[in-house]
Amino acid sequence: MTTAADVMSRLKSLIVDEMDVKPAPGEIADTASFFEDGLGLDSIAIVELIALVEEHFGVQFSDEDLVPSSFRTVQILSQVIADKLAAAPPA
Amino acid sequence: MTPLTPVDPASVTFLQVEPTTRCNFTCGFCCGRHMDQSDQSWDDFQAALDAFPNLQHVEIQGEGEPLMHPQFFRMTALARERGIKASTITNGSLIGRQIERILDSGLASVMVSIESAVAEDFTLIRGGRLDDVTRGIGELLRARAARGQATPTVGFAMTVLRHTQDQLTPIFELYERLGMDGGILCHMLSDMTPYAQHYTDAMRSEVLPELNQSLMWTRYARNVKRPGYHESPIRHFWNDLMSTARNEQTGKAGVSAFTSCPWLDRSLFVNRHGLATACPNIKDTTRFAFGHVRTDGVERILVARDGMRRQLATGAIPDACRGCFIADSIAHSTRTPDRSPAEL
Repeated sequence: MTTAADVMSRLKSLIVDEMDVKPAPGEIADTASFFEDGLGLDSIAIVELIALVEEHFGVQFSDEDLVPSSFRTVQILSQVIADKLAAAPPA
Repeated sequence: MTPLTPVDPASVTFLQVEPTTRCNFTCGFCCGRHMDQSDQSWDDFQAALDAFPNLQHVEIQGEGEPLMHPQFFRMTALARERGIKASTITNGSLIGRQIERILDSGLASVMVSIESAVAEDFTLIRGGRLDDVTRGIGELLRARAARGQATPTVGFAMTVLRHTQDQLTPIFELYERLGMDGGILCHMLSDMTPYAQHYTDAMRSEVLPELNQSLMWTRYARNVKRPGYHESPIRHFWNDLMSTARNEQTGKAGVSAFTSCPWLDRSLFVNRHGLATACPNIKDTTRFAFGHVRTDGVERILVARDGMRRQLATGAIPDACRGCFIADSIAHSTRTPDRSPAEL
């Protein structure tokens, strides 16, 4: 079973590999926000990030998932992804 | 073939002209209500089309209601005569009175502004009646079908306010119910100074926080890809602009998605006074106009535009572009270490 910690590690690597951010995975705080006070992404970049996460983790965010509270920090988003993976039927 | 330079008139392929600032609606977020109420002259419109020999698309739309311009259909006729695709965005209230003229106009696309599919809320926001708008759209589509015409396609142009975030699905459902086919454009209530300076406190609170904007963009993108819904078959400048989400040089998604401004590269805005600016978001023509399209000549306008393009390429955001996400993105990209210097 994939834990939230595993997801967070993969999410940080995905952000560094695919997004236009400067920090290395180890430099991204668990509590980092995605915006100016954290990773420095803008609204277009967040849209891209959502698409990347869905592709990378094989999950689909519902309209109910697409609320600000799911995207406050790297840690919170990791938990949302982990919950979706746990709820998904085995392949 | 030698590539076109930014000061070559043939480099301008998209032109947006503002026919009027007059309007019969009273949208609280519209800065056009705070401008002088006037129409573009025929001479200025004609000069704008004359100035750029390679125009492919003219959007006849600014802060007012385009169909209130007494020569609106003369404008579309001239564009048609020159083989230039013409489109407009209207509040929809006058469609029902102009159906035959719209069908005769050669317009490729008519987009109708909307924020809410709830009649009472629509009236509260726009000051007009949703019923009048939907009746006109229905009549236009039926008359078009009776003629066997494919154009103009008819779609919605949606502005998202904080309290209308839940209207995305209802607006898509209304679009389907009416049998519309022009796609749905979406943008968020602007917080750029030229617009926001006129907002009341209540309207200012309607601007979506950045994260909400991202989530709304994501939901919107999903809706336009669902069967039955689609993006406009008539490509809009804005469709192309918003599809640019990756830095061409780094291949990465993010805040450096733009390395140059599509407006400064290939487009121009001409307001109702005939004054050319880089884009329709620039309202302070006293400080930021490139020149008058008829009296100053195209060379002066394009040299000024190129100056702005060069400044932006260095990462120094021109005052006219403050608050623009494209300018922010370009400035950010100049600070990205693996980005090669911008081509000047």
